Amino acid sequence: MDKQLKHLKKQYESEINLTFTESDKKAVLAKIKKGKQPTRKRLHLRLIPVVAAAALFVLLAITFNSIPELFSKMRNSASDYSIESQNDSDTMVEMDGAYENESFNMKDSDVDIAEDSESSDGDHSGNDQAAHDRDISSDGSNLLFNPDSVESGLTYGNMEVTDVKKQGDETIISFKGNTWLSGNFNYRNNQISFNPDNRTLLDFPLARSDKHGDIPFYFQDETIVKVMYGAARGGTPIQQANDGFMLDVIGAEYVFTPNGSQVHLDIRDTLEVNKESYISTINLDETLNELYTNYADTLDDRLLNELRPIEVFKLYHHALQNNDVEVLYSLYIKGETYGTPDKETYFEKRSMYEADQQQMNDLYVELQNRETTFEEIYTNQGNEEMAFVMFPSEEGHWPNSFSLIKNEEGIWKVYLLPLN
Amino acid sequence: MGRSKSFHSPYEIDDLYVLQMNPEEAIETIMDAYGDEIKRLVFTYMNNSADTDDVTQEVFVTVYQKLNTFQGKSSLKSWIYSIAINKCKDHLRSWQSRNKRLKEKLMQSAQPGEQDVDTPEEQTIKQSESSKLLKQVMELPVRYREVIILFYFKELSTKEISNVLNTKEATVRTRLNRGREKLKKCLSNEEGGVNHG
Repeated sequence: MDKQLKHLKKQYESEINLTFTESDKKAVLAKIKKGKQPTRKRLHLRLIPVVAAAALFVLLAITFNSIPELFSKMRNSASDYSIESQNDSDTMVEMDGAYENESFNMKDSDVDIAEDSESSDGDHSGNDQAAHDRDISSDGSNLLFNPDSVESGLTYGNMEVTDVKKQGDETIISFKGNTWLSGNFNYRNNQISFNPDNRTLLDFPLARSDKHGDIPFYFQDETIVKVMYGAARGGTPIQQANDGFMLDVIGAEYVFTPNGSQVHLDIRDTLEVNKESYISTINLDETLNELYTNYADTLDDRLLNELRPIEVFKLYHHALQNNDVEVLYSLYIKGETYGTPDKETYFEKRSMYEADQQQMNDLYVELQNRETTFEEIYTNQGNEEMAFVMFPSEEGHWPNSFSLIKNEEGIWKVYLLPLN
Repeated sequence: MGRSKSFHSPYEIDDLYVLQMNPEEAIETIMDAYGDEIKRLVFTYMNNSADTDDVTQEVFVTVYQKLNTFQGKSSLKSWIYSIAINKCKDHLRSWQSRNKRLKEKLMQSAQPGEQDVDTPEEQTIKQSESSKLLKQVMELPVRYREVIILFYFKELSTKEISNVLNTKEATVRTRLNRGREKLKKCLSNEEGGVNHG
């Protein structure tokens, strides 16, 4: 089998005969043009601080090895820098503000070197802590910061500190930038959290004392997560996903406390998610009831022209309760692209096409005559405008959602199996 | 087959050279160098041309957006591969994609007489008699399909695959073995005339 597969490469390349065409290229460039232009530090500029810090490290190590007495004297005085070498694995160099001003501006560099920052925590002098505490270890361990000395303008990998607030024990550090986190979601107590893989966590700033701890990651806007990562489907808790998710992180609010921190992530909204909330019952009000009667008589979509997704959602439930099958079929988006069959096929195999109707009935019973907070979520996927009506479920699982799509006439229509 | 050299293709470009270009120049160079192979890779996940076009374009838009975050911890090529693979998986997981597949299944079960008709995409990889094995590869579950394709067709080492997929190397090896076993089984079933769907 191994041999056969090795010989298959050419066949794979010739038979899956796809080329990235000029029009593909143009489409990419057009999409790029529409988006924001990234700025990129030139590679050599990025390398300067790293090379300079490495050189400094080597220089200091040589100095220490060759003249330890001198070094000892320096430590005892009000030194501008401290150097410690306990053993090979926890050598540390820190630079304070005075040194920072001498040869290069460390705030623009990315470097403060600590191979094992934990071993050095107890040895921080006031001056040391005044230095920016960005630690990028030579073995690729986390980007660490000291909550006591972190300040706006410092950068950790691709994340820049934009604000620092102190409130009692809490230090709230805001970051902006761009990094990735891969891992998995959890949904507990009506809140979504994220467990990043340790590997991708290396590119994310962490407070020193959180380096080894499992700090919870939450989201600044859960709606975006629900829509972008498939959670807007009803019923399926997202933690059942087998393989990890990749988050495109553009910011974070890091709430540090000595007893435990938490992070609130801001993730890129590529689907242009918008939402509105309503407190309402699922029942039809007088106006909608009248419209329903007219629609049931005529099945004229123009009557739905001004309706919002939540109103179409209510009409659909009303039709379901009254077993108005003609109205139900009429409310669906039509066309093979959406899987909606022609009328004849639909009525022949109704039980199959309405496989989620028991769930719908349960939902109606749960929401009937009860004020509920409904969320309408709008998003664009490709050229299509979609909407989800989301509502909390008493079961405490993932909130349920009902999906709709705008047809060519600009009318919200229901997706077949809208709870799926 | 020497895997250590495997990351070099005729289109290999100098990572450092690309990194020093301005982003617009860089993305054009990257598209020229990797466009075809990334599109082929995306197809192996999507199995249809329409989604392949969209997702491939999205991959390069993301590469452009994230070029400033590339830190050279891996090669540019494996970095682009990991973006492509993640985009593919995100797409396969997306509500729209799942919905589409669900609807396709419904349509197929509603019209049983038509379900054996090949799509143009299926015809694409069915042109040759000797492509049975390739067809079986394409029908493997994604977790096995991706490692087989990355290892044999993209010639990545298991270490490189583990980096690209963000998974353990041992898992990659297990999946490779299981993938090969599944292929063997499928082929022997087919030769024995068993219809395994």
